[in-house]
Amino acid sequence: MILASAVISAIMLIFGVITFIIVMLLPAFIELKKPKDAGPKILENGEQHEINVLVDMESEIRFDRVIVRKVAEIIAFLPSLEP
Amino acid sequence: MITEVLEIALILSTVLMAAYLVRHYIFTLTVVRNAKKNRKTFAGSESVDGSYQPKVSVLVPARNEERVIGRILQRMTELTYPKDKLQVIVIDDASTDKTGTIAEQYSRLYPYMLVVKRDKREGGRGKASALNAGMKWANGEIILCFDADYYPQKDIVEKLVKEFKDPKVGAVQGRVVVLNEPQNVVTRLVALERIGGYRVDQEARDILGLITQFGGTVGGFRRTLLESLGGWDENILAEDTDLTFRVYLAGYKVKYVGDAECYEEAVESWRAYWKQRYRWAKGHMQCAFKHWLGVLKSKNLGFKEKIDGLLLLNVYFLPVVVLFSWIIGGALTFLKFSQWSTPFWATFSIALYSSIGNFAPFYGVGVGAYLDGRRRAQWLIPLLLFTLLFNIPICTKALIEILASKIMKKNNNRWEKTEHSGNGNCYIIGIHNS
Repeated sequence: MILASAVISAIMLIFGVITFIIVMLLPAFIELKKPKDAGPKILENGEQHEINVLVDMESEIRFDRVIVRKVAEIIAFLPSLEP
Repeated sequence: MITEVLEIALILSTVLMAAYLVRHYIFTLTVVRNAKKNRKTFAGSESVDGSYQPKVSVLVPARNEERVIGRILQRMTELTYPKDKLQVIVIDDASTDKTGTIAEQYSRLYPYMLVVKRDKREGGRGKASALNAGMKWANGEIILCFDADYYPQKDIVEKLVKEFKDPKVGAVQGRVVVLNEPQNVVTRLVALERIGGYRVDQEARDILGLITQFGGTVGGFRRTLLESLGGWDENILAEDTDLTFRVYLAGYKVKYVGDAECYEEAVESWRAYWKQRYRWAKGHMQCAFKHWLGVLKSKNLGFKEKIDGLLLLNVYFLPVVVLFSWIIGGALTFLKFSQWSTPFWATFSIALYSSIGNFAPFYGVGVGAYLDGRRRAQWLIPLLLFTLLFNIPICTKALIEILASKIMKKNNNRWEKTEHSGNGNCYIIGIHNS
């Protein structure tokens, strides 16, 4: 009886350790097997992004959003053609 | 009596390990806070001031680097710094391959490039010796150094040099990014270590006004200071760390310039990793023996700089301390197993460093990768455990060799050069290594 419980404990311990190792290292192995990281950091070669340029980009985006919203409103009035 | 001594030793090693893990957390949290602040103030768009343009000499020591030397010399021709204020000195350190021929081809085409040839008698005595030889020919106000396997940004000279406007800045250090990261598991882990070391540790030290480290490449010095310090110490394997401390002890500081970035070709095998880290560990330990008293006594260093300086000097002793605490912990567990306190202390130091302590550098690396905008590089962080374990025999061997050389009063320095395959070339579009 005692021997059986000791064997069970040992099996549980080994199983636990293996599970822990797998859980801990699984993401690393997945990333090594099928890398999805973009790789090394791309160095910027003196490209200075001026704040006003970024503001212009933002205003363009805002303009696009207005158009998209209006188009969405128009589409909402259209009857659904799906069966 | 023996058990009491062992207990005290174990407590001391635990305190030491705890000091390093606190340091890791402080560094990481500092960088996180700084990133948040920068996001709010939009500090990322700092432009390079072109009004300060002193004469700059770039030293490129090279020994059997035919696979990579063309790459960096081509890049030197593409630098945006005015060529009439630039001097590039290639030190062909007794190469037996085509390094000298390639460098001479460039020097014939570009008058601001110079090749310093060293024969078998003078050369092959390490990087410090090569750099000292190159410095004799340098005529720049600022001396910058790049290793032959490096590939910098086009405007890196402007970014590094601008910091010398501050008269307190004696040296600068840019950021190193691993070029051949996708190559294999070793290069990917080295890349993670670099992220932790530069994006977190160096940046935090700079923000907190601590001891920013000159890394031996992608950086440079004020020429007058370098000359007054006597150049690079050829008897030290970590000549960069040695100079860092000499700069600070002379009352100057090293400025870290995080946006001055440069690619490097990382070691590609565990064998090369061992050789490189062994040299670093031994050199760092030599610096620790050389400078610890100077750091403590220095009037040019504040209290927090002294603490950080001592932690930095002794960082390669830490894996030995980990091994030491494991051995003592195990021994105490058997020697005084009946008392509850001893097994507690015996396991406490191991548990502390193996859980929270180990997590601290991993946490630093993870935060660095996140701040760099990396998507999945963080997934490899658990594998850093293996590099940490790998460093235990490396640092132990280095310490044993240093102690043996001290007892026998014999300097057995041997410069183990890191081999570069040029495999990083495939990651640079449009570059052809001639």
